[in-house]
Amino acid sequence: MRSPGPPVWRPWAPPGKGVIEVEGVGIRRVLLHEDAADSSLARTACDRLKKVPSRIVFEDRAGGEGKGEPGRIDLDKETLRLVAFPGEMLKPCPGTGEGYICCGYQILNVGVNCPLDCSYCILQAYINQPSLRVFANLPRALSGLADRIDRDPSRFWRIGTGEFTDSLALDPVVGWTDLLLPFMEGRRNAILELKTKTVRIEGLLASRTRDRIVVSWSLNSPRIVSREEHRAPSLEKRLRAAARCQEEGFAVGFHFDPLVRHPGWKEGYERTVELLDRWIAPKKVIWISLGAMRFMPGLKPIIRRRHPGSEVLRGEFVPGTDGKLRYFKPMRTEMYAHLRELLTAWHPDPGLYLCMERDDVWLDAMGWSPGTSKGLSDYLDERARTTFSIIG
Amino acid sequence: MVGKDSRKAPPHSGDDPQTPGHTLTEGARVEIPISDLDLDHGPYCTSFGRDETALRTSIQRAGVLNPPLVHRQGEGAWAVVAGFSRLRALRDLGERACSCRDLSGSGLTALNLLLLGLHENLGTRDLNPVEKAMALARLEPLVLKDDLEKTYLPLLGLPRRHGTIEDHLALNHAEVEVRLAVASGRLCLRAFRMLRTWSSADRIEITRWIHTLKYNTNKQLQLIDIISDLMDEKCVTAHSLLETGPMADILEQAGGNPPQAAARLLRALRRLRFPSLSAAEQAFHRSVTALELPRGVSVTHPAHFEGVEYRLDIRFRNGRDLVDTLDALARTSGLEALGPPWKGGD
Repeated sequence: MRSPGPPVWRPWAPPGKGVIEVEGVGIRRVLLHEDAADSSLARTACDRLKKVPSRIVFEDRAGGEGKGEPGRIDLDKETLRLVAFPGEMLKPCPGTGEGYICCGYQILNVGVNCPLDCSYCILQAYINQPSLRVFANLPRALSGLADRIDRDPSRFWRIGTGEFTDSLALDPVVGWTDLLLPFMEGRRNAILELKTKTVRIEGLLASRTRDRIVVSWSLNSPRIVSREEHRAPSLEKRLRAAARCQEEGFAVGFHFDPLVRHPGWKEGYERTVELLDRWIAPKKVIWISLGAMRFMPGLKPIIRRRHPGSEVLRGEFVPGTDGKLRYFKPMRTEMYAHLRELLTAWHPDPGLYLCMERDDVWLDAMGWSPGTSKGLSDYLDERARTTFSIIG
Repeated sequence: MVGKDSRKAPPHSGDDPQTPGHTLTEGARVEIPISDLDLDHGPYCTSFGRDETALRTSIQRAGVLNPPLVHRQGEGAWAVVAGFSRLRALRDLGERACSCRDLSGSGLTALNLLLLGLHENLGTRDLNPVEKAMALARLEPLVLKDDLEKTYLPLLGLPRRHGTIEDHLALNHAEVEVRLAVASGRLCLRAFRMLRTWSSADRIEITRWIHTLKYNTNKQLQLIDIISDLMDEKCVTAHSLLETGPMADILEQAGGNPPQAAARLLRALRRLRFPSLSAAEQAFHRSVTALELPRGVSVTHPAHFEGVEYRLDIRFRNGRDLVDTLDALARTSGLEALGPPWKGGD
C-alpha cells in the first residue's frame, strides 16, 4: 500500500449519491485506482458515472484490497473498479486439453467479473477479488497489440472479450466499443467477437465499423434463461438486439452454452430455435456453438450456496479426463444431436461447432469431426473469412 | 486432594499485545462447589470431547497438581478460566468441591482470561477442531476481524482463509452429536462443511450413519456429495432418502458387517444418482462376462466411459502361459463387439 498522494487526475465533480441503473447493471460505487487514473477509458467511465459516489483508491497495481478465496468472497457486482491490468491482455484461450477439442480462440482480457449473475457461471469459482474490474490501460495496450497482430499477417486471429466478463454489459459505461471497433478497422488478419447476453448495442450501432466484427449472443432454453440467468435480458430481447445488429450489417453468432438437461429440455430448446427463426436471417449467421454444461468440481458448492434451487447441477455429471464434470457422454451426445437437428432444419449450414468436446462425441452427434483443435480452429477461421468476404 | 502450585502465566505472545504479561497475580485460593460451575460452556471454555480417562486416573493417584483458574462474573457466578478437564474429572470421581485460584481481582480483561486458558491448552496438547471452533467463537466478539485472521488463525494452526472462520463458527453452533463426531475425527471437517446447509435432523442422521458404518474421509465426502445431489434432484430430505428402497434394508442390517454395509450403501446410492451410467456399466460387465475370456484376462472400460480407450489385462505365469493365453484370446469370438453399451456393444 503506497501512502496517499495527490491524485494524478480528478475528473469528476464531488461524489454524488446516485446509481446508474441499466438493465442488468446497477453500479452504486466507482473506485478509480491510482494506477489507472490517467487513462482515457477511466475518464470516459467517470464522466458517464458522475452521479455515482466515487473515490480514488491508492493501491499497488490492480488492488490487493479484499483478496480472498474464490467462491467465498462477496463478488460485489455493484462496485466498478477502474484498474490497470499488469499482465499481457491478449492470450490464447487455455482451452481444456486432455482429449477435448478446443477452438483456438484468443482472449482479449478487458475486465473481470460481470454484472449479470448466471447461476452456472464459472467466474464464481475463479474470481478472488471483489467488484467489477475494468482494465483502464486497454487504450495503451491496444497499440502494442496492433504491432503484434500486424507483424504476423499470415496468421488469422480470432479474438474475443467475453471470457471473463460480458463483452457489452458495461459498454455504455466504459465505452469498449469506442476503442475496439476502430482498433479492428486496421487489422486485416483478425476478427473480434463480442459475446453477450445483454442488449447494450448502442455503442456498436454508433460506430461506423462493421467489417470483421462478430456480435454473438448466448442463448438457452426459456426455462434456463428465466430461472438461471439472473439479471440477463429475456431471450426475445436478445434476439431483437441481434436482429438489429444484423440489419445494421454486423455478422452475428450464437452460443448455446451451457446446454442444460432440465424437465422438457427438448421442447425448451425447440422454442428457442423457433424464436431464432422468427428474428434472425440464418444466412448471415457466422457460427453457432454448442456446449453442454460442464464445471470444475469446486463450482458445485458455490452454486449450491449462491443459487439454492438452481437446476443446473441436476443430471448425471461424471468426471471428464480434464477433471471437469460433464453429463454422461451419451446424454450430451443426445443433446447435441437434438440441437443439430433443430438448427440444420433452420439452415443447412449454420456453422455449428462443439465447445470443448471429444472427437467421438463430434462424430456421433454432428456426423463429422475436425479431429483436432487445429482442425476446429481452421474450420472457424474459414467461416470467418467466408463470412466477411460476403458481408465486407 | 488438591496439591500446591506455583504456576506462572504462559509466555507473552509477541504478535498479540493483549496477551497477559509474563507473570500473573497469584490469586487467592477458593474452595468452590463443582456443581456451581458450568463445565461445558462459559466464556473461556475451549475444551470439548476429550477422553479424560487418563486424567481421572492421574487425579485419583496424585490429586490435582495445578489448581484450576476461576473468575467471578458480574452477577456473582464463577466462570472457569482454565482447568475444565480437571474439574470434569473431579466431578466424575465424585468430588464435590475443588480448590481453585481466583483471578477476579487480577484486573485481567475478558480477552486476557480467554487467552490464558487457551495458551494453557495449546501448551500442553493439540486442540481438536471443535475446540478450535470454540476458541474462534469466543475470540470473535473480543478482537478485530483482521486480528482474528492474522493472529489467531495461525495460533490455532488454521489456514488464513475467509471460509475458515465461517466454517468454525458454524461448527461451534452445530448439534452436539455432530460436534462429538468432528472432535473425535469420525466426521472430517470437509464433510462437516458440506453438511452445513443441511437441516439439523439430516445432519445428525448422516453423522450417525457415517459413525456406524465407519466411513473414511474419502467415502464420507463421496457419501455426502451423492446424497446432496439426490436431495437436490429429487427434492427429498436425507432421512426420507435413506429410509426408502434398498437403502433402508442395507441400513437395517448394517450392524452385522459395517464395512460391507458401507460399500453396499454407497453402491445403491450411486445407482440412484447415476442410473444411465450404472446401467451402462452393468451392460458392459454382462457383455464381457458373456465373452468367456481366457483365464487371467480381463477388460475394463474407460472411467465413466468418458475416454475412448479400453484396457486389457493379462495375468500369466511364464512365457508359455502368455502365448497360450494370447492364442485363446485371439480365438475368442465376439471381441469386435466390445464398445460403449449404448451403441449396441452389449
